[in-house]
Amino acid sequence: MSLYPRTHVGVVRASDLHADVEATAAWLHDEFDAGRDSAVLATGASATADMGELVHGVHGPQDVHAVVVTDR
Amino acid sequence: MSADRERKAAKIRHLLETEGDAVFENTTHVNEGRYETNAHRDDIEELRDASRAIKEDAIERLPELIETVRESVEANGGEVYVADDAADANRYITEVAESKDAETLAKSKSMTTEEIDVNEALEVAGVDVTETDLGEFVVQVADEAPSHLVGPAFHKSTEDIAALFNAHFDPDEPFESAEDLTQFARDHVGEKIMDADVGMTGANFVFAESGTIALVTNEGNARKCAVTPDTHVAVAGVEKLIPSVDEFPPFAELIARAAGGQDIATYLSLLSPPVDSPVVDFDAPDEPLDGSTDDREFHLVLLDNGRTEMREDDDLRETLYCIRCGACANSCANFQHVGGHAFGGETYTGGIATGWEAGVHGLDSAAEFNDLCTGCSRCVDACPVKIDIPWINTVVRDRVNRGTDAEFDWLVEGLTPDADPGGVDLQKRLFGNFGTLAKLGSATAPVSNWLADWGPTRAVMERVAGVDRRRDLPAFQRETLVDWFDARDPLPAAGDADREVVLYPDAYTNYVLVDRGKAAVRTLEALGADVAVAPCHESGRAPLSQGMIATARENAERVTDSLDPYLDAGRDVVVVEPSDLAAFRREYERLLDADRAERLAEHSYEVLEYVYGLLENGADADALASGGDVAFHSHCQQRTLDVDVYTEAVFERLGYDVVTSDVECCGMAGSFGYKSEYYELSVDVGETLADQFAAEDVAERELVASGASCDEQLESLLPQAATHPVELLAPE
Ligand code: SF4
Repeated sequence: MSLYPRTHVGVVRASDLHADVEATAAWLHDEFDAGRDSAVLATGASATADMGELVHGVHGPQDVHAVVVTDR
Repeated sequence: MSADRERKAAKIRHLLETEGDAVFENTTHVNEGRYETNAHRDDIEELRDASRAIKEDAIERLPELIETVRESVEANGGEVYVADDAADANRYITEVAESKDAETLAKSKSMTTEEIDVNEALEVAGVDVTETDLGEFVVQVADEAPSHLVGPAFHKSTEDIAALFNAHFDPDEPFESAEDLTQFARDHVGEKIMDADVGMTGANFVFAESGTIALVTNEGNARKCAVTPDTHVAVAGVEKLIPSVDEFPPFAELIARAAGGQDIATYLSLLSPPVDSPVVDFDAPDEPLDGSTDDREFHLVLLDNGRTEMREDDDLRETLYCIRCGACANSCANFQHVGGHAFGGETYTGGIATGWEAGVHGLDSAAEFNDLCTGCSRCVDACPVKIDIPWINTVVRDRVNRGTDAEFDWLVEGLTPDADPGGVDLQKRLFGNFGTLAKLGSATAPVSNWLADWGPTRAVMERVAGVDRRRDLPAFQRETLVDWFDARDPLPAAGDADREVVLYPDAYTNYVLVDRGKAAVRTLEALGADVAVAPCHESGRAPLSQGMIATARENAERVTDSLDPYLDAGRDVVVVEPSDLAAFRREYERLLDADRAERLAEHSYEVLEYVYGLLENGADADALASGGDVAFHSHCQQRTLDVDVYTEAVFERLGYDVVTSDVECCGMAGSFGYKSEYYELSVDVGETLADQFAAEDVAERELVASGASCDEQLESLLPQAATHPVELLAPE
């Protein structure tokens, strides 16, 4: 349901961060092996250039905040 | 001009005026992004190779993957339907909608659903369809066809869309900015998604083992359509199947780079529907969700519609590797200037569209504007799965030629010594036999030139063969390069580079632009090479560009026969015209036995590439003319072969200051700019290049271009004449 509100705040553990797509792919491989069958890789506010220039906040959120919890 | 040519010219003229500017702006923006994001990574080539290999393997294993996905989706609680064709798919989809008593359906962008015209079928069944991708929504409101694989409304500017929405929705405050329009469309479409009884999406990839669909978007509408209504129908071509999530990463890296110049798309949603989140009742926002997902239904419709036959077709198969990023269209100079609506096609348009149209709708649909591909090959570099798009266009053109009854068959059949059958029209046959014509023109020069320039001749040429009167024709030289070479004393060798070469004289260099051939000989000799000149035979480039593959094959064999003795003697082949080098290195492998093609490709060099090699190996650079300010336009095919860098490197080494153009193609592209139906488009494309060279601090520079066509185009659009780079370097 993270697509409906205008602001999306994601809270993640620092230990769950992956460096890049390659590292995320390795994680996905293990997760799918373990039975997971869905995942969403979201990298920012939703956007479109369909009206002639880039505008943020289309169907998904306009503001995205990622809170990284390091104290664990 | 014939009526058919006049009709095509008028359509192009209209689109240049109405849609050209918006398309140019949009494609330029995306291309800049693509070049930039690709530059961030040094492993793009590896990723492209990996993606290509995955697609090749998946298409090979397609029947097995279809069975696998059927099992996995069923195990997840969904249904798989493999539809033979559009009617079959539409019947299944409308039955699903009817079984749910659906009145409304919200849809995310999918070209595959455009291919089957599912919206019309659903509307007949009484279902109201809303396109939720904003570009697609614009096109739906305008009641137009998408003009681009990824940006359906690429042909509209913000002002165009504002005018459309103001007229259609009559808002209290008229819309002006992209921001206004986006907010309005978001709210309008958002409500439709919440109300929809059924959600429909495409799929960028389908993972067979887990029954997962991958949706790549920036707006987030695809996931909303997939999960908001309780019933989700995903429609995908069978070619979207890849084995599992493990094969996905290279595509995740490449697709957004190729499509939009982004490092990664905003949303990569991997869903294995029916999803296990509860269905939200927007009418009862305060009701707690009960966690039940029992109501959810999922149907995966896998569309064949000609794809099985494409898989069996050695020339069209590659089309199935396409991930529909649109980069081929964006990198196409003609597309940039006139846009997708010019390229015809029932569904797909520009770049790879010819392959798709030929495969799913048939040759007629692919034929109309297939000529707009000039074979410049810039798309080959842009394609993330390395599809040889120009070859697909050539093959389709060849098939179209074979299927037509040309008016002048009886006339040309006996006259032109080529290997293609009577269906080829006279215009194509004329340009496809340029080598033969040039030989005749040179033998009878200057009379041939006077005659060709004479008003009444031009009128007949225009009417009968579609050669535009506004173009200057090449002026044939009486003394050919081969004649000149045979009659002269070679220069004494100046260096110690100790190489033996044979210069391949293409028809332009031999009969028209003889000076560049002489300059090449003098330059190579000055650097210590022993030079021979081969007999002049057409390489096959000219007939290939007209889709005359049989003639091109015959040409390729004759050229190779004539070069073989030189190769046997250990000589390297030096080529002046980049498009002929591209034929040797790229197309000959499709025309000749593998080992013959490979040997020639391996030992052929573009002339400045060879000069660079000689200089690197100790030849004396002082033997060449140095220093000066130069404006350099490389050649499209030369850039695809990555040999343009050698010309720049040689200039730099000899102390020249160089400004380079950054357009994909000059717009002339061999015969293209001569054709009366395309003349105006060719000039429009050429003007982008001419503007760069007419700019302040560039206009005064010496103008050089590697290709004969580029040369002609520049000369017709700029006051100063262009020469080949080797003419600047050659000693007197
Ligand atoms: S052919 Fe290649 S560049 Fe063109 S749309 Fe397909 S994947 Fe993209």
